[in-house]
Amino acid sequence: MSAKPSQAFMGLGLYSQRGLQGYIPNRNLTIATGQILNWTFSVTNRMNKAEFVMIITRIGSNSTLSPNATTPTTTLPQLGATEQFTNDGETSRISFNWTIESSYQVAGLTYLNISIAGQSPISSAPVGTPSGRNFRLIFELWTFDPVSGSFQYGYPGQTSQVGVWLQVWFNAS
Amino acid sequence: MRTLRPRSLTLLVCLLVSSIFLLNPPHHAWAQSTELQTAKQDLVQAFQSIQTAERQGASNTDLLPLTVQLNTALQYEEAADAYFRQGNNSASVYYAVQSIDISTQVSYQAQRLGNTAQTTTLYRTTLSYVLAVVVALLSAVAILEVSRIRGRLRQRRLLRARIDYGGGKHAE
Repeated sequence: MSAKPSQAFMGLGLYSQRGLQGYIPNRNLTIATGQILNWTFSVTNRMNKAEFVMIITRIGSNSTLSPNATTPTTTLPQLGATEQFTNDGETSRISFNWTIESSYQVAGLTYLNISIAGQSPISSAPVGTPSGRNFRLIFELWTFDPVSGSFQYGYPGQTSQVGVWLQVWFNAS
Repeated sequence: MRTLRPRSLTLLVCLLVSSIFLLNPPHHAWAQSTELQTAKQDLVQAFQSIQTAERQGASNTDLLPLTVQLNTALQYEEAADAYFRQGNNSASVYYAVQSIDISTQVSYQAQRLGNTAQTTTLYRTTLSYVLAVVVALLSAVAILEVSRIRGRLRQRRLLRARIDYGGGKHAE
């Protein structure tokens, strides 16, 4: 008897206990300097095999490129990366705590120093925005490819890699 | 010619040095320790052992604890990496060794689970084939011998049946 047909996929989600503090895409999420945000990634593995995943966090703005279904935004500054092994059929939860440590202005643009999981802050440069508005955190899901021995953007689909990413817009105050 | 020789020698030395760098690019500013590199390699190896065990038929339920252990090993490896970047080599080695220990155990257990699953699958397949052959043989015998079996049954029924001579009626 043949196995039930199913399409393999990986899912990436982000939430907080307070629903991302009332987050509405592209609006109203204003984050104060020093405010600690405790968010959680949820990674769903329906690949019919265990996966070694990595979530890369980047910072962008409304004037920077977005990742897409095939290409990550490797040109944007990487703020951090977190890795996790996930079993098939499992939804893993990974803590993501971050804060804006400080901000500075150069030539009318505001740049941020962001710290993830209490580590040393990393500058958002060259990404800066007027008045600290319209920043966005971009999260890309990468999976480990045992053949090449490296992480690949997205997950292996039927014909090619399938890119998985999400973003959260915010203003810095 | 004599004046050129030292220059060509210098050039040759420069080329040799450059080629060494081309073959082995210089390590990053924080070149990893042997233990840290081993920890990273062992994590990947353990992960591959889990995937192999899955292919061999090990169940998700059996493999779940191994994934949990592997995540602990990953945390130790990350701690080792962080300490190494801070320049605390002894703490880095300590956590790297912890990670290696767990990864090695996970690899071993995954291989064991995989082998067990493979043996069980082989046993079940063999048993299924044997059962199929036995059932097929019995069916063939039953089909071929059905007329003979029916005859025997009829013969038995006849032998068991009482013979009524109708003697009782005549006596009255």
